[in-house]
Amino acid sequence: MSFFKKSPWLLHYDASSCNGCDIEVLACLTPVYDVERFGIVNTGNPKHADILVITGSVNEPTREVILNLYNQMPHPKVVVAVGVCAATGGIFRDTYNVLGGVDTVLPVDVYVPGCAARPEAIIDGVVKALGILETKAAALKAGAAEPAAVEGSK
Amino acid sequence: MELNLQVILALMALPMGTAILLAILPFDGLRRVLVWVSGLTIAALSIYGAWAMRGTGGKTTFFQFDPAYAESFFLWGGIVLAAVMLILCRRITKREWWIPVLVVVQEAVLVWLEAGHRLPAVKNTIAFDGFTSIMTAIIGVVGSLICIYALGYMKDYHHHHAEMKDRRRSFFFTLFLFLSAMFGVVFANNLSWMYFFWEITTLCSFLLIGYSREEQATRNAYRAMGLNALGGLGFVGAIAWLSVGPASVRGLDLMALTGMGALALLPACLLAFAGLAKAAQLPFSSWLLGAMVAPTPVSALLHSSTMVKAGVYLIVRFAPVFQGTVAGQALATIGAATFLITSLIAITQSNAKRVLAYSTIANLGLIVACAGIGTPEATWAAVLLIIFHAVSKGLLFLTVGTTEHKIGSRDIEDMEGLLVEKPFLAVAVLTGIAGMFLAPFGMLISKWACMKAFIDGNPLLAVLLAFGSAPTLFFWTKWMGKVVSIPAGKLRTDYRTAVEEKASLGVLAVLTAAVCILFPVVSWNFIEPYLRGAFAATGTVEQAILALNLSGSTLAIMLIMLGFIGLLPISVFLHPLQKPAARYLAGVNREADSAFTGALATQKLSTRNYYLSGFFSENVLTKGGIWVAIALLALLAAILWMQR
Amino acid sequence: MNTTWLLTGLIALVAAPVLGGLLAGFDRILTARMQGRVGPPLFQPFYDVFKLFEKRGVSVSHFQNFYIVCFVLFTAFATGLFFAGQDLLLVVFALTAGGVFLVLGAFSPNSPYSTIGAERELLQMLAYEPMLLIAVMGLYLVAGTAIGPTPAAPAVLDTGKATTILACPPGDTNRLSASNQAASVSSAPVPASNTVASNSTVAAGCGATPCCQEAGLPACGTPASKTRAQADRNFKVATILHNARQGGMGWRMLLNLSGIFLGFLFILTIKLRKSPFDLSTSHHGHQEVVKGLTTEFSGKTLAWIEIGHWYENILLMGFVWLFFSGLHPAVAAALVAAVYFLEILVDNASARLKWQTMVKAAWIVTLVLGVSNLLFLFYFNR
Repeated sequence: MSFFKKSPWLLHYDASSCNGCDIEVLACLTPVYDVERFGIVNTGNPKHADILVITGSVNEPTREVILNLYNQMPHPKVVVAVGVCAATGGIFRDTYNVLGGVDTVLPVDVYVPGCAARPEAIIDGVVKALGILETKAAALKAGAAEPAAVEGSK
Repeated sequence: MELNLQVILALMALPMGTAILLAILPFDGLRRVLVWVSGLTIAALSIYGAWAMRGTGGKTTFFQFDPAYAESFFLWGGIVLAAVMLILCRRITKREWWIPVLVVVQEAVLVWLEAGHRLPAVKNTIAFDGFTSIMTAIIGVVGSLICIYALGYMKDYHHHHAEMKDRRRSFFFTLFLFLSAMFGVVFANNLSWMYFFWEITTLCSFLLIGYSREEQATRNAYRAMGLNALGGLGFVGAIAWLSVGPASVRGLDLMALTGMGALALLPACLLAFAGLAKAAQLPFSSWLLGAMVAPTPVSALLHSSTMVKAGVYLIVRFAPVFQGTVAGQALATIGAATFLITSLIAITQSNAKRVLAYSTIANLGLIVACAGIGTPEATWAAVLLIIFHAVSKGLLFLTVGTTEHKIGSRDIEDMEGLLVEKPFLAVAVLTGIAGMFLAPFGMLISKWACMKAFIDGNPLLAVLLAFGSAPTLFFWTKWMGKVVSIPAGKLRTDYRTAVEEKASLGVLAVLTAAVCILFPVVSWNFIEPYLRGAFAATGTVEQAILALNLSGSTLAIMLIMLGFIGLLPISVFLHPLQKPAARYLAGVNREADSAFTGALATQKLSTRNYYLSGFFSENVLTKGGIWVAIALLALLAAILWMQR
Repeated sequence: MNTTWLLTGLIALVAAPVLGGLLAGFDRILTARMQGRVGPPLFQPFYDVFKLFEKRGVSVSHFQNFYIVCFVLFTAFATGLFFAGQDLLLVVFALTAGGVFLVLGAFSPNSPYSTIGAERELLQMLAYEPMLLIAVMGLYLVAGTAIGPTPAAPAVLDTGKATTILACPPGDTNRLSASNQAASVSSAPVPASNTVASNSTVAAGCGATPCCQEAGLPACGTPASKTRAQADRNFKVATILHNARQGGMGWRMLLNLSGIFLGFLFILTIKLRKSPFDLSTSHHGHQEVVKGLTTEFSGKTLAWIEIGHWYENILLMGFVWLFFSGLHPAVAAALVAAVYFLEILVDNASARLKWQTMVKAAWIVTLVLGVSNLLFLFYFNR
């Protein structure tokens, strides 16, 4: 039995979001949605986190930060891109300073659509990510090698 | 002459002879051989003497050693000593006029007493009991280790201070002269003899503090001499009182005096005054801090392991006299207040030697507090504190000395990463610090006994101890933290540590751990017999020993915890190594983790300890402490005046 | 230490983490309810810890995890000692040693956030340590003297010659020894050079023995029982519990220790890492130091830190129990629960304070409530 499903700890990073999705992520913690019911905790520390939740599109300065955070998270770990900007770059995708969605730098496991993404959708996305997390944990347990750190080269 | 007396005389003569040879011999190589041989011989001899005369069952071994030349020797010796001190006073400033005055006054009184044959005769001039054994072993073993260490250290010292004249011959001469005098202080049962040796230690301290001949060193040396001379006034006062005072307490026999009870209170307090100055307690503490300019082996030998211990040695000797008296309580409060105040000041210091100096004063304060309470339990704690402190502090000073030469700084902040850069030194520092305060090590058991003695005797002292323990924890742990933290960026390069330094540090580190494991043996063979002898007249000693409950679970608990520490290296193997990862810096890590790019710019990473200097002020605390101590001394005087 | 106590200690070693985890679960539910949320399941802390055991760890230095091994060992050992009825002062020392190792673990990675956490943890220790020691001393003064049947220590020990030693409780010794010494010296001058005071019968008598009667000592007139009274004055948890129950102390114990108890409650907030004093690390959303002390720990090591805290919390609740130990166990248990509830309430009703405020407040509270209570106990209640 694996306990990842019962105790997902999040790390939330704002890559360049307009704060719309961020507010919705935080709304999940409030009494209305109360994600702590599922054991979800917003840790704010990559070394404690299982799930990296990223809002907003990726630009040049945040690209390195995202890589840094991801590589500091211990395995197994999953990435959830919340909101349309994080998924594809959204309306900013063609601007000069935006690289695109999170998947331009990291392997994303779950995409949560919306502008801004609704709390229900975010919770759904996280729950979906938990399934992937369990699979990864099982693979690690079975003796699979830890995936290598993601390098920053473009 | 019987064997034991020969050992005692040899212990004084050997360092003396070595000192003279060292002064004559000009060669480095010969000096090395001589110091090694003499140091090891003194250590072996002191261990033998300590064991042979440990005073089983509370027996004190007395020697009626009183050669015909003794009287004139001490008379002329004293005069010569005073003359030397006066000559040395030629470089004083206007504000230091009082120092030669004090020297002259003391010697005048003494000459008046001696030349007028007013000193009462003492039959048993030398006494040896369990406590003497412990002091002998400390001086012999720790003292010789430090002398051996000094061989390597002083070579480096002059390498680093090329502009300074190499006066190592006089340095080693003074060091061994001091050892000889220090043995004299603890062996002497005749107070006038003890005073002579006492003054020689003051002289040695003066010479060694001023070794570098720099302006600051000279001033600090005079300050040390002056404050010790002020304390010496108390010593001379006690000798005078015991010589020409009331007939009921006439006599300079130390052992007899300590067995006299409340009658001996006045001379005991006068001697305690001298002891407070020697042990750098408030209000005298400033000389010890000034003494930190001396080369590190001096700080280790004189200013932490032995000479300052002479001060508390004398006070602890009088514990049975202080027991249950108001004067004793006042004295204990001076000690406990010193403990609290200097521990708080130590938080604000980043200079390792100053931290050690403040912590030395604090621990001596604790010993004084125990002696002032004067119950057998408290005295037991005091003697244990003397042992643990001598070994751990000697180790710490020496390590700081070597570290300073290696990394070029004695600032604690610069010791970051010592554990990976110089593991040997780091382990020595950590062992020393752990020996000073951490649970399974020695201080635990003495603190435990102190606490019990204080709460049974005077809750105010217990409160001072409780408040003083917390800052102790604070400043030691943050120092350890700096040593164990992994440096950001490149490691500094190492170069060879002299074999003398390595040997001394290694032996002292092992000793620190060994006294923790073996302290029950020390207690049974040395401290308990001493307590039986010293407290024979008060009759509470057996229950006290029972109450310390050493045979029981306390001991087992101690040993189990020590076992944990022993397990630590094993856990290194049991614990799987984790994947290395960069520090979390809330940005992008740069330059192998030693810098980061945040929202604003790329910044260098550096961590510093908290010194809380805005919260606790060294200046304010010192001034306040001095006034509190002076008030307590005045109170002590008033109590004695009223009880006269 | 008899077998029963040894067994209790061993059981506590196993049970404390279980109870501690449950306590943490309750804590989280209650906290959620106070915030108008449902909160996690009761077993959530266990799920967290089990998950952490499944996770891979990363560490900045290879050394950092070893300090944590020591932290857990010492904290668990302190808990075991406490529930084995051992010396309370040693328990506090062992707990402190555990704390020191945790701090060293946090210093080791030399990361800014964990270093700040370590410094703040040290400040917390600076703030609570005096009160903790004073609490131990208060309990000792109130209930540290063993009463009832305990194995007697040999009362008279011969040190070679006929030396009879009569004893009296320490209170008496202190009050009367000055006069005794004066008397004994004037009647028999002490030999100038001697070994033991041989052949002289030294009797440091008690004089009047009111304190024996106050303490309810059986047959306090005989030297043997007096000796026992002194030898059995100790810091043992077993003694305190025994006295509180058998001595019928009831509410009197809490009343006599009221100042110390309130002071202890104050520092309990620091010790339990609750707001407003959760400076070094916290389970909550304040993140100005990320996770402070635990920032650089992950996986198994983090799980062990959590377990260490569970031990610590149970030990602290046991400590609180001591204040109520004169009462019926059910009442005492209810009061301990009430204390914990109060801590959660304070936690949820306050914001984090600066360390300056914490140290000042804790020391002032210790001085005003703890010290005055201790002085009262020493001078008026013996």
